[in-house]
Amino acid sequence: MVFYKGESGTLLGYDIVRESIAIRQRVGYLAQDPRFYEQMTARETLRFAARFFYAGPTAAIEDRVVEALDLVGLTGKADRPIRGFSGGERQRLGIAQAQINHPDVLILDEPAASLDPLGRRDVLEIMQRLRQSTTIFYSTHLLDDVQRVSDRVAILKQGELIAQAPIDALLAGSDKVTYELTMQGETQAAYTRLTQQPWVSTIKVEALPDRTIWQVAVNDERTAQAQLVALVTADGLVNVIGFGRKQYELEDIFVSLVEEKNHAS
Amino acid sequence: MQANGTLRPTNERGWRRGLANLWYKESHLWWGTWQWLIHVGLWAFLLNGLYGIVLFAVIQAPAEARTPEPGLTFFGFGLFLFTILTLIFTGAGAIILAQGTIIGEKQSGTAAWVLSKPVSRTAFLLAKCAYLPGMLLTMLMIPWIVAILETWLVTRQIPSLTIMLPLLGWQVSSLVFFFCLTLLLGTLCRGRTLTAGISLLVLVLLNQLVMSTLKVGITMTRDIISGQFLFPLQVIIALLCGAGICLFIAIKRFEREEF
Repeated sequence: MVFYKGESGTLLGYDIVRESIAIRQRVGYLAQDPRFYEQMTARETLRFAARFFYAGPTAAIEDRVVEALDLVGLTGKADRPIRGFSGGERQRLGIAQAQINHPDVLILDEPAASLDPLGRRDVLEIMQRLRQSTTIFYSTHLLDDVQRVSDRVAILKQGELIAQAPIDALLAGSDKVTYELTMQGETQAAYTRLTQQPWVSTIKVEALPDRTIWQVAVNDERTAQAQLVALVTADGLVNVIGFGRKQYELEDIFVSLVEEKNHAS
Repeated sequence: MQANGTLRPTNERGWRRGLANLWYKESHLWWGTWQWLIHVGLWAFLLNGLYGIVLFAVIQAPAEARTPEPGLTFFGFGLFLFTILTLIFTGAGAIILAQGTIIGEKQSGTAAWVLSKPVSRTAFLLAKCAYLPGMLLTMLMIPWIVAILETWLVTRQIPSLTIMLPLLGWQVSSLVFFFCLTLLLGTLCRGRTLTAGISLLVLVLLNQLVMSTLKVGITMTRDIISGQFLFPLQVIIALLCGAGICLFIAIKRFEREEF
């Protein structure tokens, strides 16, 4: 995390160029592909990182190091050289060194991008613990992770901010309610009946070999609840085997926002 | 940000920010491993071994053919030979040791990591000079002690401090110059080969100046032995100024480096 002349702005109230060291004093940073001195052990690395922030008795520094090792579950590997660490262990060490100073803001760049499922799970668990005490600002393309550990989401497209909101607000943000129906049988007539209803906005159809799934967006939730299934099954040709209000995933919101942006431009 | 028990924020400010920690880390790479002991053995073997062979060969020659100039004693010529050997080999050693210190960290990504901490770039660069005390001890001091012993065994003379210090000063300033020159090239170049290549070229050219005619080296040695320090002192000052200028430019260049 290095700021350059020509860039401008503030972070935590400090100028990013003139007061860069003051910012780095208060911020923890983990790069996407963190690099450390390979010959050092995890304990030595954390000790080295801690001494950039703290002076004081060796025992106090060691306590801080042990605390960081415990946080990321590397106590058992604390005295092994980093050159033997797996990707997940490096990432955990990266988080430990980034938060060694109890930063006001912890910036993580794709913290789980290159990890196997177990490594990813470990990193997300650590982030869950850390978010109790520190603001974590992280970038990722793994939207499942975002949904699991984030409070607020900002979506960027080609460097431009296109949405920013608490995650719950973003997930519930669509003014249209959508119901999902899973059916078997002949659905053509039912489709025609539904499209004639004024409270139906759109119907997205997914035809599978053994069933058909509709996502029906409505603008009158109460009427839809009362009439939707009845309308579909009115002719007896359709058997509804699943019905419920669609739960939006962040991926849906992301795709929708990016597509909207594409159409707008 | 919360403090942890008796921990207190570090009080380094400005360009010194992070220097002590980085200096300790770099020193530990030298003194905390077997590296220093390997260097003691390597340089004693290389410098004192070669010096011993040359001394032995010269002593076999007729007395009138032992020195290239009549004004220089065999004792003085011995010291001259040791000085030249040391200048060449320790210069090359300094270049080899320094060539990866900046570029290696830039390429491996560790420089970017360290600089994400509250560390000044000046401190990052200056900390590389933590190698110098170890290099001076293992590449110069210890070989000098052995060389004195070798010279005494052959000539039955021990150089006085007034002779030794200017010669040592010449060697120290040369080593420091080539170390700083290589650091500078490390901030300018992207590859180790180019960095080391340019530094070695400068080393060869400078030593060629001394070796080809023998005039400069022998004049300096004779001046030193006769107690006239003006010319050697000028060379030492020039080399140290050169080292300082290299370091200054390196710091300025490194401040603009993007990672």
